[in-house]
Amino acid sequence: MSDESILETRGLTKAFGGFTAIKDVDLKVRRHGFHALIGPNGAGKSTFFNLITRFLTPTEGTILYKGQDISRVKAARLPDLGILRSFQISAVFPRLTLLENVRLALQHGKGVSYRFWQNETSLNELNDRAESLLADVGLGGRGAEPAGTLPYGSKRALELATTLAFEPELMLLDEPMAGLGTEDIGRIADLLEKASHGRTILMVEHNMHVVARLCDRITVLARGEVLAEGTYAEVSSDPRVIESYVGRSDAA
Amino acid sequence: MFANPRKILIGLALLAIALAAPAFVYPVLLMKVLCFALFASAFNLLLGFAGILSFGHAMFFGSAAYVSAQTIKVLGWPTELGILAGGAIAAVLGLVVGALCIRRKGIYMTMITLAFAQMLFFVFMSAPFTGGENGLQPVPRRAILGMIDISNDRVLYYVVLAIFLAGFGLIYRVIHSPFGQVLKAIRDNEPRAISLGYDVDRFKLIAFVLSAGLSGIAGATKAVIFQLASLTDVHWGMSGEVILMTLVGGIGSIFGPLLGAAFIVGMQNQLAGLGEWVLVVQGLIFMTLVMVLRAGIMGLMSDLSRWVSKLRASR
Repeated sequence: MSDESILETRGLTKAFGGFTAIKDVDLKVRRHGFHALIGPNGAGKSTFFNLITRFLTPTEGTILYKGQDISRVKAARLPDLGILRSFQISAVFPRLTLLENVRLALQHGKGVSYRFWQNETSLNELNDRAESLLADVGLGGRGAEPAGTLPYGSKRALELATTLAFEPELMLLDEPMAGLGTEDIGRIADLLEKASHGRTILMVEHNMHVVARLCDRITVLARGEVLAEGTYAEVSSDPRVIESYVGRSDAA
Repeated sequence: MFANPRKILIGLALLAIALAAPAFVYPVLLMKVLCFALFASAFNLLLGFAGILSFGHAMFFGSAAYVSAQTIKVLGWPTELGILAGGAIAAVLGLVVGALCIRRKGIYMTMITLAFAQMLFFVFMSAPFTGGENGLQPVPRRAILGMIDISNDRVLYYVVLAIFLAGFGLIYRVIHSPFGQVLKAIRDNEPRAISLGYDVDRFKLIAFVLSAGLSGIAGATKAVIFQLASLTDVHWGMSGEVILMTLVGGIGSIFGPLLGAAFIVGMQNQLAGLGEWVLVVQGLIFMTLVMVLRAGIMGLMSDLSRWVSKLRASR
C-alpha cells in the first residue's frame, strides 16, 4: 500500500486554542495522481494545506512522504525532498525580472546561493534553461521584463514556470485558479495538465469545472474532517456532499 | 554589465570628482560624508535589499568607534588594525543581535534592535574605559602601514576614500551576487522564497552580519578622522540619522544612501549657525522630502531622466 501513495496523513489534527480546525484527517495521495481537495469555506482546506506544506505545525498526527515522517521537517527543506508548493495569491518576486524569477529556482540546486562575494554574472549559464521554461508557459522572449508589471494570469504562468524549474515530484497547489478570468483558467488548466505527466499534484480548488476536468481523485473536507472521497462522479452525487454545499454561493 | 560604456564613463567621472574634491571642499567635511555614506550604504543593504529595518545601527557604528579608539590610543595598535578590529567586533555583535531579532517580524524585530542599542548605550555611558561624557580622545593618527603619514587631512582623505571604495565595492558586489538575488527574493516575497527551499533566516543573518561589520568599519574610521569616540556615536539619535539618510537618498537604490549622506551632512554643516534649531529645520526638511519624494532623491532623479527622455521622444 505504502509504495502506491506518495503522500499520506495519519490522524492529522490542528487545534488553534480551543478550536480544532483539522480533526483526525487520514488522506492518501496516489503517486502520479491528480488529487483535488475541495470543501465549503471554513472547511479547513487552507489549514490542512499549510500543515502538509509545513507552514504550520500539526498538534497531532503524522505526515508521511514516501514513507518518511516529514511532520517536523522545516518548510525550506521540502523542495530538496521534491515537494514544491504554490500560493493562493500568485507568488512571484515583483521587483525581479521574469528570467531572475525562474533562475532563483534553478540557482537553488547549484549550491552557490550563499556566495555573496561572487558576481551574479556567474548565474548566466542558467539563462538558456530559464528562457526555455518561460517559453513552455507562453512567456518566451520576455525574460527581461519585471515580474511586477505582468497581468495576473501571466504571473500565474510565471509561478508555474518557476515551480517546474525544480522538476518537483509532488506539487501542492493552493487554489491555482483563484482570481483568474475564464480565458486564463483554460490556459493555466492546460499548463497544469501538461505538468501533471509523470508527477503527482494535490490541489485545493473551488472551480469545479477545472476539478472535473483535471482530477482523478477528490477529497471533500467539511468542518475539518474528511466528508467523502472518490472520483468526481462519485463525490458530486454524494448526498452528504451536496448537503454541505447547499445554500452556499461557492458551490458553483 | 562591464560592456556598458556609459556606466564606466559615469564611474570614472565620479572617481575624478572624488579625487579632486579636497582641492575645493574642506577635507574633514568630505571624510565625514564618506563615513556616513558607507554607514548608510551598509544600513541600506539591510533595509533596501533584505527588508530588515534596524533601529539600533548606532550600536555597531559606535561600538566600533570605541574599539578602534581604545586599541589605537590605549593599546597602541596600528591604525589599520584598529579599524579592522572595530569592524570585526561590530560583525560579532551583529551576529548576536541578528540571531535574536531576525526570527521576529516587522515592528517587533525593530524594537529588539533598539532595545539592544539602548542597553549598549548605558553600558558605554557607565563603563570606565569609554571616558563617559568626555569620550575617548585624542586618538593618535598613526601612519598607515607604518608608511603613509595621515596627520595631514588631505592625505587621510585619500585613505578614507580607499576605505569607502572598498566597503562600497563589497556592498555593490553583495547586491549583485547569487546571494543578493536570494536576498531580493526574500524582500519581495518571503513565503515564496521559503517554498523554493531557501532558509531565509540564514540569508537574513548573513546580511545582518555584513551590514553590522561594514557599519563598524565606518564608525571606526570616523574615530580616526575626528580622533574621538564619544557617546554621540552610540546614541539612538545616530540610529535615527542613518535611517534619515537612507530614506532621503532612496531606499533600495545603490547610490541613494550616498546622496542622502551627502545631503544630510552638508545640510548640518550649512545650518550649524542655527544651533539647536538645526534639528527643527532638519525635521521639517525630512517631512517634506518623505511626503513629496517617496523614493528619495534617487527616485526624483530617475523620474527626471524618464521625463527628459519622454520629452525627447515626443519631439
